[in-house]
This record gives sequence, structure tokens and C-alpha cells, in this order.
Amino acid sequence: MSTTVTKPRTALWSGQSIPRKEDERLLKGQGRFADDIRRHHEAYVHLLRSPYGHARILSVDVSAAEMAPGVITTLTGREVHALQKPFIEIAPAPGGAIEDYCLAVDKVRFMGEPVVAILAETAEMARDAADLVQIDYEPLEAVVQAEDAVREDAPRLHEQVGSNVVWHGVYDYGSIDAAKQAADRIVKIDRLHFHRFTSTPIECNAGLVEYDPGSGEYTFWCNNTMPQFAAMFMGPALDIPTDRLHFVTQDIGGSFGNKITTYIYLTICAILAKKSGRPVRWTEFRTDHILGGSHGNERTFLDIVVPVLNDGTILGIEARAIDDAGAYPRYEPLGAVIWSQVVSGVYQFRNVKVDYTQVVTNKCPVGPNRGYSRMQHLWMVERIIDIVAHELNLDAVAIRKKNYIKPEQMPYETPNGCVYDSGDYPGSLDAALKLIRYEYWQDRKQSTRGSGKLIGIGIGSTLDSGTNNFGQARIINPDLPFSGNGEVSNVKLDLYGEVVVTIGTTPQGQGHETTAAQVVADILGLNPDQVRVLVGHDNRRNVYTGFSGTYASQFAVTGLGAVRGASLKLKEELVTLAAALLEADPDEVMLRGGTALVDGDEGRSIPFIGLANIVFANNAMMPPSLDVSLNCTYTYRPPFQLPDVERKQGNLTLTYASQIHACVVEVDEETGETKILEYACVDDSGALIHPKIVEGQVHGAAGLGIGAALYESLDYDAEGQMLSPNFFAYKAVTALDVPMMKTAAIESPSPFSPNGAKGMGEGGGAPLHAVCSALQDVMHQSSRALVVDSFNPSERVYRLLHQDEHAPRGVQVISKPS
Amino acid sequence: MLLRELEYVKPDSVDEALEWLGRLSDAGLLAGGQSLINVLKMRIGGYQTLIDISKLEDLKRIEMVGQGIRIGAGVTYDELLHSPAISLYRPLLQEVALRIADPQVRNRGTVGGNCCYNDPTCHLPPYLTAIGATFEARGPKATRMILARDFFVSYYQTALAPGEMLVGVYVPIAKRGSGDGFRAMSVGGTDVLNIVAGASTVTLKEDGTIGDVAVVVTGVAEHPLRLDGVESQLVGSSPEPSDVRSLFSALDTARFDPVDDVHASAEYRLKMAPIFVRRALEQALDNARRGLRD
Ligand SMILES: Cc1cc2nc3c(=O)[nH]c(=O)nc-3n(C[C@H](O)[C@H](O)[C@H](O)COP(=O)(O)OP(=O)(O)OC[C@H]3O[C@@H](n4cnc5c(N)ncnc54)[C@H](O)[C@@H]3O)c2cc1C
Repeated sequence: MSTTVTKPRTALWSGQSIPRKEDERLLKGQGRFADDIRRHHEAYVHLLRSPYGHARILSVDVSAAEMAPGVITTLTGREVHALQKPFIEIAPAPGGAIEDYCLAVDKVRFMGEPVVAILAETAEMARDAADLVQIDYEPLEAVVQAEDAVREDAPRLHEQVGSNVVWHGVYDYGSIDAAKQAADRIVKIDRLHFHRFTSTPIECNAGLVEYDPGSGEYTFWCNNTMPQFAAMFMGPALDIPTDRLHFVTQDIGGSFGNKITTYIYLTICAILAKKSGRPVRWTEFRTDHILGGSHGNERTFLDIVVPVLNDGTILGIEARAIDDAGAYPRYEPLGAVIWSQVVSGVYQFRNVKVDYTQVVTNKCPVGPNRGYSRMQHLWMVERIIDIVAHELNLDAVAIRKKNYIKPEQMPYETPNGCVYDSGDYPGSLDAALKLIRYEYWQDRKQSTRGSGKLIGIGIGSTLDSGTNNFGQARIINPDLPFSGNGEVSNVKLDLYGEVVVTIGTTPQGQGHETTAAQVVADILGLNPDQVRVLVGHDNRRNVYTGFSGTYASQFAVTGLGAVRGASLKLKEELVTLAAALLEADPDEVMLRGGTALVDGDEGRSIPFIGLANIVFANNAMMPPSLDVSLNCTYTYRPPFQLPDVERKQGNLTLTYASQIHACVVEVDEETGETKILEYACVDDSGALIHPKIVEGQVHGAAGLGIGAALYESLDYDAEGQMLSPNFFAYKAVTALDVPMMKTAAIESPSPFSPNGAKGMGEGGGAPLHAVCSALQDVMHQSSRALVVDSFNPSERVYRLLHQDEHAPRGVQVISKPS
Repeated sequence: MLLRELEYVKPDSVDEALEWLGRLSDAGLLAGGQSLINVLKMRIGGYQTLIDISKLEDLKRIEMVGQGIRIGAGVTYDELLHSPAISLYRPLLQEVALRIADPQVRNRGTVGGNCCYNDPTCHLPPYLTAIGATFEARGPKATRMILARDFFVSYYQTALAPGEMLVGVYVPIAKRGSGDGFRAMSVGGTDVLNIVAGASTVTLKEDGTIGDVAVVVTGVAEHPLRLDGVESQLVGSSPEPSDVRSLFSALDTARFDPVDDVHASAEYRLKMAPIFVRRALEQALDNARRGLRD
């Protein structure tokens, strides 16, 4: 594995791949995760889940379970209906009419939906008692496919909504009609389908929940990764002041967005904790997590129309999108606007019209999932590019280069008002092609034909838009009370001279302790080892905003922006204080190695511990005119305005990291088996604070995407039975499945972020695009079938290879008379 | 996923294990636990008592017996991989064992467990059927030998009678001029779940014609299926690659009744089965011919 970095490194800590501060603890098994927390007198929850995809609950009898050994109490949907207000819905009417409770009340709407909670002295006792619960179900017809859910006669999940459509909107930018007029040809694609999968954090969801009757406060030791968002749902649901919800996170074993929606489960625990007077422990098993955690959005694109010029210039895209939210929208329909951060992907076309519908189906609810909502759209765009290239007999590289936004066009305003900050897509593509030895494989492609193997070369060009403007939620629902974004940090010189950093974030492997320490060290003249960064989010520390957390590719901008602001404040205080004490001009005072000293007269100095002593324990010595606390808090706020809700227009995200991946895939013609022969990732994440952490994120995102493209799919049958509820059936990608990767970084600093960095953790799903692109290249040499699904296990590849020549291909090219 | 509470006994000898097995009506043997524990966690069926045989020294030996190698039922895949006798006398068994899942599973899973579990995705049943292994079953009174083709009865069923346990597997030594083949189609980049698998062994005469051949396929029937028709067509011939291809492209699959599940449709399994057995045979032929040349 190789890394090419184009910028020489400076003398600063930022930009260097120093050893990660958190690794010593984590590698020695000394990390502390949610399930490691213990409270006196704690009790264990077992959740009894629905075996049906869709059924009416006729009766629930917990009497035998309540008598079982060790059982403390139980909780049923009927009780929840009395004890909980329905969770707020982000959707406006009609989707807003959905009533969502933490346990199923009168119906179950997906297999795995929690129906009864049992609290017992041990996990085993709770589990055993579950076998004694009697539930009568009346199975109902299920609706599993999004395209079926929109039909008038489809079974309804939520009767009060009146249909299964929870949100609908048309995104219309430029003029697709004018583009059709101007086009030489129109390419029509019938259907593309982006499949359902998830990101499989190693640590499942967990929480330990305690209720303090004295203060009315609930404490959640948990691994929720956007705690204040969870609080927004939970406060009203529990009918208590939301600020009484105290969240504490610690080490978290991955989330990828999947842990944002655990408020459902934390609410169950909160009700049980109050009811029983016991701390309540809840830890998922893998099957729980796969059945009832959070899945990625499945999306079907229909009636795609692409006006093009003969030279391959793409003028626009028109499509209908049907997004499948599963049984309850929850975080949705935010995804219905989030994709529009990247309406035109990395391309220059200006005319886009997407008719977007979100439906509910009898499947597990979706939630944010690495690449959230943008990757589905970007996948469609990349499919279109390859299909157009093949139908017009154009080269897949040339058509990309022709249509890519050019570096000199940056910053680039997209048709819906988003501003791409910086980037070099053609340069990244060249670098990726070089890494995969493009010329060599182009030759081999020809010479391999006839050998039983076919070789395809694929490109995935994608964006990871980071630092959301939450105002975009108003495009979904104008009444939502949020906009902008922000993170808080406190940097303090502690009583005995240690610099301690607190942030509102919930890191899950992204190395926040390390990168925050690098930033602080550079500003305060320290070594990162001298900076202590507290782990996780804790609202008792009073360092958080409503946006606090770790999600959606923003820490490098918002988190480090806050750390930088707080450090600069502390630096100023330290310098002012030292100058007064050393009787020097503040301009002469430098901070170095934990000491403030006078430039050129280094004998005049005072160590940080001395400064702390003066302020915290010896303040009669403090010059009376000074007002310093050495306890500095800063809130970073990105420069956002409210979007134009009517026109669905505005700057929706601050930074745009790009990922251009290229790969070489070999396909066994006889069986459809695939093998990745080369894989290269060229990422542009702006200025890199810690190149190795960034590379780790690149590897992780690439592995995940390769898994999604080839192995991982969450499948349901027509009755809503989940067919892959464990690792036996859900083939989560492992290190052994991922090919050797070559990586390179291009650094185009963002002009909009405080440090030139861009959020980059999600990675834009590039391998899904690249692998499909390579398979499309293979099909172009054989059956000419279209790769229309994002999931391509051997069987599907086999079917594509053997698709009847005369079968409808799902694509049409209409030439217009000139 | 939590198991039901159950009893656990750890006998010191095979005899003691058999005694427990005879005495308790709802007891089961625990070997590597790589399948059994998962089944117990799902609480589908299950035992009241587990008799742990995983540490019994008597089941751990790999020894030469006449023209064969006797592999104790408790030998783990990892122990197979490190056995000089196996690498010398039945090298492909190591290649097959190495494909099973990952090091964690290979450290615990046993030859006996793999055969007695007899899941259609297991690696060993088709291979042991092809090479004509013999299974040594011990009951409270007697020991009997069961041929592979009789041992694997149906999905998760073997010829073991209640109260009997598998103590060893006899694997014949590969003769001069013989070669083995194994080819599986698995979900994902590592083998955890074979959709179909083919296994074969070929013994060539000095003149290069096939003296003896076994061709076995799994994933399309309730037990590893020997393709007798193909075998009889092959005996006495010295097939060119194109002959092998046409033999399998014309394969009669009427007896095949593959399952249809989330991993693969029945139709696809039906299409893949002939390809993977063919490839197994091709590999066996290559190995045998190489052996004859050397
Ligand atoms: C993640 C994972 C992936 C796997 N992938 C594969 C794979 O790709 N290929 C493959 O072949 N297998 C695979 N397996 C299964 C694995 O090989 C098991 O080890 C094997 O199926 C059972 O062996 P065991 O020793 O663990 O037996 P156990 O699980 O302990 O027992 C299995 C059954 O056999 C019975 N049994 C065990 N020993 C005896 C005996 N001596 N006499 C009578 N009955 C006995 C037990 O009572 C039980 O019913 C996988 C397992 C896991 C967990």
C-alpha cells in the first residue's frame, strides 16, 4: 500500500502522522465501551421482537413472564402508549401523522420490531422469561418493495397517513426541457436499483440508563453518536424537560451513522429505569442489531432521461426516485434532501429534475449509513455516465474528463446553489488510473478475451460533502427549528498545569484525541503528548451544541474549528497573563514546551503550572487589571445562511472531499464469480491534519463499499421475513475479502474551513460505483446487459453475462433529427 | 443470543463419554462447538446436557494404519494443517481444511464435528466421500465401520445410531498415479458458506488411462452425491480437456434437487454444480498426471 502526498510537510504537528493517542489504551484492551460501564444494582433488558413483517397484535400476556425467576418487571406496547408521547416526526403531513412509539402498540410493522421488554436480574433470566410471554398476532399482508408500496391498493403500514408515501417533492434545477431540446440524443434508462445494506459496526448498540428521582434526571451511558439529536426526540416523548437528559459516551466501536437512531431503545430503557428504580442495561446481540438496528436507504430510480450531445457532453438528468425508509421514517425524510448536496456529482451538467418519493415498507427502519443518501444518487450518476459512454461508443475515461468540473472552475456553484470549495477531479482520475496500471490492463483486457475470463476496468467518481447546513431540513419541513451547524470545544489549563481539551463529539475510531492534540499543540507550543483530550460527549461538561456528535464528515472542520478557536483564546490569555507577570510586552511572549518565555531573553519565563497556580490557587498575586480564567470555550459556526425553501436552493454543505477510485475486476464467464485485481483510491480531503488517519478512513470506506458491492445485502422475502439476520447469512466484509489497495492523496485546501481541511469520513460509496463500472465494462464486451443493481454477487453477474441478446436491455437511445 | 441453561460434563475417556451418552436421553456431544453452540444460541431444539469431548486425547491422534491414515474425530482443522502424515499422504485434505472459514474456526472445529454436523455447506463430507473414507463409530457395545457413501444420510443426519459416537476417520493413502480435486463456490471472498462444491479423486494406470475415479457433488442433494454415470464413462479413458467439458455439459441433472435460499437460487446451483464438479475432476486429473510424470 502506498501513499503519495503532494505537499511537503511543515514543522507543525498538524500534517504529521504521529502515533495515535488513543491506540495505547485501545490496543491494550483498556478502552472503555458502553458495555464496560457498571452501576450498582443494575438490571438487564431483553427485548422480545416481532417474528412477523406485518401483523396486528391481538393480545399480549406477560403474566407468566412476570412470575419467572429473576424478573423485575416487563413493559408492553399498551403501557408505553400510556407512558410515552409519540416521538416527533421530522416529516410534515402526511408523513408527520405517523405515531411512533418505542414498543409496538397495536401492530408490528417489521420483523424484529420490539414488542415486549423484560427486565431481570441477569441477561439469561430476562431471555428465559421471554419464552413465557404469550402474544397473539394476526398476520397481515406485507409490503416489501418500494415500487409496490406506492400502489393505491398496497397494504398500508400507517393507517393515519392515508398511503405509504411519507414524503414527496420535486427538485427542479435549470431546465431539463430546454436540455432535451438542445440534445443530439436522449438516453433513456428504465430502472436502476440501489440495494439495502448496512455498515456493521463491531460494537453493537448498547446503553446503561439510570433515573435519579431526586433530580428527575436520566443518565444514558451509551454509544449514541448524535446525543442531542436523540434528546430532541426523547425529551418530548418522555414528557420531561429535554435538558434533564444526561448523555455520556466513551469509546465507541464504530457507528457509520448507524448509532444515531438508538433513541428508540434508550427510551425503552428510560421508561424501565423509572418504572423499576433500577439502572437498566441493554446490549444488543448481532442478530438484534441486524434485525432492528438501522439499515441503509434502498432507492429505486425510474424513467431516467439523459439529454446528451454527440461528443458525450451530458446536459442533464431527469429521474423518479423512490426511497424506501423501512417501517418508520425516524431520521428520515432528511435523506430526501441530503442527496441534493451533490445534485450534479462531480459533473458540469446544469439541468436536473428529480421527482423524489419516500415510502414506508415492512422492513427495518433506515438511518444514516456511511455515504448517507448522497451515495445512492452519485451511484445513479456514475451508472448513467458508463451507460451513456457505452451506448454512444465513447470512452469511459474521456466522457468523465469531458464532463468533470475543472479545477479552475473552483469554487463551483452547482445548479441548486451548493458551492464546491476546491478539488481536482481530472488530476485525481489520472492518478488513480496510473495506480491501477490502466494501459497495461487495457491491453490485457483484449488478450484475455476468449480465455474464459473477462476483465473490466471501472471508475467511481464521487464526493463526500461534509459539514451540513441543517437549514436544508427546512426544505423537507419549513417548520423545523434548526439551521446551520456548529461544535463546541473547551481548552483549559488545568489546576496543575495540564492542558485539557473537551469537545462535544462522539469519536468512533476517527482519532479525535490525536488530531485535536495536534491542533492544540501547534497553537500552544506543546508536544501532542502534553495535551490531554477527554473522550466522548458528556453534557455535564457543558461543552455541546444541538449538533454535537460525530457524523456526516465534519469533525476536521467543525470539531477542529472549535478546538482551534478555544486554543487561540487560551493562548491569548496565557500570553497576557505571562506578559503581566514577566513585565514584558505580550508581543514578546512565546509559548514553548509548556513554558511562557520572553523572546530573546529566555531567562524570563514562567511554566504553565506557574500560570495555573496564579489563576486557580494563588490569585492574590494576579495583576488586578487582568481578567483571565484559563478556561476557554469556543463555538465554531460555519458561515451558512438559510436556504430558499421554495426553490430548494442554497449552500447545503461547506466542504466537498472527492474520491476518485479505479479498479480492475476479473469475471469468470462460466460462473459469474468476480475478483478484484487492482484497486486504487485517490482522495482529496483538503489539507490533511493526520495523513495516516485519513488513509485509515479511506481504507475503511473502501472495504465497506467493496463489501456492499459484492457481498452484503439485507434481504426480505415477500412476507417481510428477514433472510439475512446474522453473520451466517449476512456476509459482512472482512479483511480477507478486501484486495490490496493503492491509495494516494491530493490536497486541495478548502478555502472555507478554518484549517483548509474537509470532512472525509464517509467516503461517498466510491467502490460501489467503481465495481459496478468495471462490471459494466465486462458486460460491454459480452452480453451488453446493463448493470442495474448496486449489489452484484456471482449469481447476478452470471445472469447479466447470460442475458438473452434479444431481451429488453432497459436502455434506449433516441437520436434527434438535427 | 443466549443459550438455555444446561448441564455440562467433561468425561476423561471415550468410554466415559459413551456412558454419559447412554445414560442421558437428551445429551449431545460437544466437539469444537463451532456449529453446535450457534444452534443452541438460536434455541432451535437443543440438549439438556453437553458432553464435552473436545479435549479427549484418544480422539486427537493422527496415525498410520495399514494403507490408511486414521484421523481421530477430535482432530481440529488446524491440527490437520500441521500434520506431516497428511501433507505426505493426502495433501489435498490440507488444502480443503485451509479453506474452512478463518483461523478462529479452524482452531476449534473438528473433523468429527464437521462430518457429524453434515451441513450441506461443510467442506469435509464431499471430499471424504470422494476419497472413500471410512468412519469408525463406537457404540456402548461394539465398534463398526461405515463407508462414506453410507455415512452421510441426509441434511444434518448421519448413519450414527443413538448412543454411538464417531471416534475416527480412515483416509486411504494416496497411491502413485492418483490425484484429488476440490472446488467450491462460496459466498464472499472467504469460504464460509459453499453454495455448491465438487470433489474428485482419480487413479491413473501406468498407461495414463483412468483406473479408478470418484466424482462427488454437494449443494444439490440431501447428501454428497456420487455421479456414478460420469465415473463409469471416465474409467478406462484418458480424457482430453474437451472430452471432460462435453461430459459435464451433457450431465444429467435429473437427480439434482438443490435448495433455493438467500445465498443462491436453486436454478443457479443447478447451473453451477456441473461446473464445480468438472473443475474438481480437472484438478484431480492434473494432480494425478503430475504424480505419474514425477
Ligand atoms: C464463522 C463460521 C464459518 C464456518 N465456515 C465453514 C466452512 O466454510 N466450511 C465448513 O465445512 N464448516 C464451516 N463452519 C462449521 C465448522 O466447520 C464446524 O466446526 C463444524 O461444522 C462442526 O465441528 P465442531 O467440531 O465445531 O462440532 P460441534 O459444533 O461441537 O458439533 C457439531 C455436531 O456434531 C456432533 N458431534 C461432534 N463430534 C461428534 C462425534 N465425535 N461423534 C458424534 N457426534 C459428534 C455434535 O453433537 C453436534 O451435533 C463454520 C463455522 C463458523 C462458526
